[in-house]
Amino acid sequence: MKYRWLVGFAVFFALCPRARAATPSFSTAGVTSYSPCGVGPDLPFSAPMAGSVANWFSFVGFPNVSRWTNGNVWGSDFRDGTDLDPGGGSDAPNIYFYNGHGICQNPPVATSPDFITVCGNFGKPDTTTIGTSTRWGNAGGKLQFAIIDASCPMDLVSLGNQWFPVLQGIHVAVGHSGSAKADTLNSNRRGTDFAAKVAVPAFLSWFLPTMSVGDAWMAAGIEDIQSGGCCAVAIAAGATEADAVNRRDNEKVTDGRSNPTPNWAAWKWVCR
Amino acid sequence: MKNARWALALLAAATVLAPSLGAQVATKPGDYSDQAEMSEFHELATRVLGARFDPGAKTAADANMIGMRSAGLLFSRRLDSRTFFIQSLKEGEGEGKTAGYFQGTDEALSSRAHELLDRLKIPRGEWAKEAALQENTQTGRREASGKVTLGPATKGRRTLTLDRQIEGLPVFSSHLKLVLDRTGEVGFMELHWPEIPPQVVTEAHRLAYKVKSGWRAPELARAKVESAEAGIIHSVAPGLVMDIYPAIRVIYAPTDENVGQKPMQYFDRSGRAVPSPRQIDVPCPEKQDQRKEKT
Repeated sequence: MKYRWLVGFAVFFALCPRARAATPSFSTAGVTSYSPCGVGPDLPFSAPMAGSVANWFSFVGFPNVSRWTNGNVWGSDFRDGTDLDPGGGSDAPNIYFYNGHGICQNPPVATSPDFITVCGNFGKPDTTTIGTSTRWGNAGGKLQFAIIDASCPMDLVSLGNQWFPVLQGIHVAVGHSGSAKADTLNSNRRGTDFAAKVAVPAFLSWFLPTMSVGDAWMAAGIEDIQSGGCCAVAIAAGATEADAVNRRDNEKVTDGRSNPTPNWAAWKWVCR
Repeated sequence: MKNARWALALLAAATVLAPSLGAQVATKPGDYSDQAEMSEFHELATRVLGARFDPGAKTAADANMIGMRSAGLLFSRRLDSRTFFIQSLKEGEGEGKTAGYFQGTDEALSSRAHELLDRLKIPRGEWAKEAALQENTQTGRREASGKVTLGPATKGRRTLTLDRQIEGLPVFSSHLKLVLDRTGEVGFMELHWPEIPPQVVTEAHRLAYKVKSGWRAPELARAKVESAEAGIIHSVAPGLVMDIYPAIRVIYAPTDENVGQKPMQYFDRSGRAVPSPRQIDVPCPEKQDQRKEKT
């Protein structure tokens, strides 16, 4: 008889999504200062935006792994083999938010690589070729959601070539496709708007829509981007096509889903 | 027996009058009670907007939000801003796509957006550029050999976006974003249209005049000015504070075209950076020490 409550609680815990909602860890990285490296220009809102996203996730109650800006963001944070560094590696937390420069081709072709470019004090080189050097979710990597708020880290024309190798257990990644003529603008709102769409503090969760990562990026990722071909892009991995599509459309940061076997990828995009 | 008749009559009268009394409470000027607030919001949701809630819908308020919610639908608004949210919570709709997309024309989507804006009393004079943004989807399979086979690109849902202007000045941060479900009902709506103080509009006009009269944007190394435009910025839709500033928005283009993400900055009349509108007002976590290379 006395176990009835225990059984009831176990059933409730198993069935109630809120009761089993996961609390993901997060890291942020924002590079405003590119001048010391002679590349650039500087991006005024990148470091503050990374700070604001960190503030929001902390406000919601997510544990922080690292939150670096400027020279403390290193190229090695994005490369396989060094990305597990709990002091700043991108594969160490469950959510990783990056805001800074990328490198674009004008126009990109199917074999064009995607890049992340920082201006680090250490961990050189500063530029990482995503398709050949970045592997997320492998070898104990914890990254589930990569938010790459840069320029052209997800060129649509090269997505199949550049991003399939990266998906090694990561659930969803978001970024932009664009060109010098239709580029992302260094926004002071896109990141925080996205953060507040995927993670809502408990006392507001009854009132505010909580969105999947893919849908939140389709809504927030189109802010402050130029018309004429700049696109918000979200890609998800799955064991089956249906699994990948479901994660792309429905997976939330608090779902606590297990890592996908990346047999399939599903992506979506919306352009200005 | 006589008493019982009177009691029945009173009960009947109370039953008939109760809803109208409730409506009176909702519209009675100077009634700031929780009950009046909930009644007003209920009326806005059901009668003005025509939202269809499942039985058992509840209305509540907390912090700067008030909302009405049932198993299948959420409608809420900020209490400190003209900001509204609608989200379908039905399985496979709203966010989910398994139930299909709205198949109507762009004109039908636009017309529904206009209807919602009218019902929420958004001044028509402030409506600016609108666009139906087409979402596209695609899948690909990785063979055991590593070869990737791509499926065809297909059309997904559409988002109607509508920008805002006041007296010809863009309000960069305001918008309507609307997604309809396959039945034409609202799957997702974010209407962020805060009231702008007249002094802010006046200053934005002055800034626009300065831009026209040769105002020069501060220089930025390794970039050139691509555009300068005066307008108004404010805090994002989900948040606990609402900051509003008149500002000149300057977009810079990198001189090296391969370096992507264009710097953007908001300036006041003197060329000083305008503060970024806040979302929350909480103390920043302690700053981390300088990161050191591992040896």
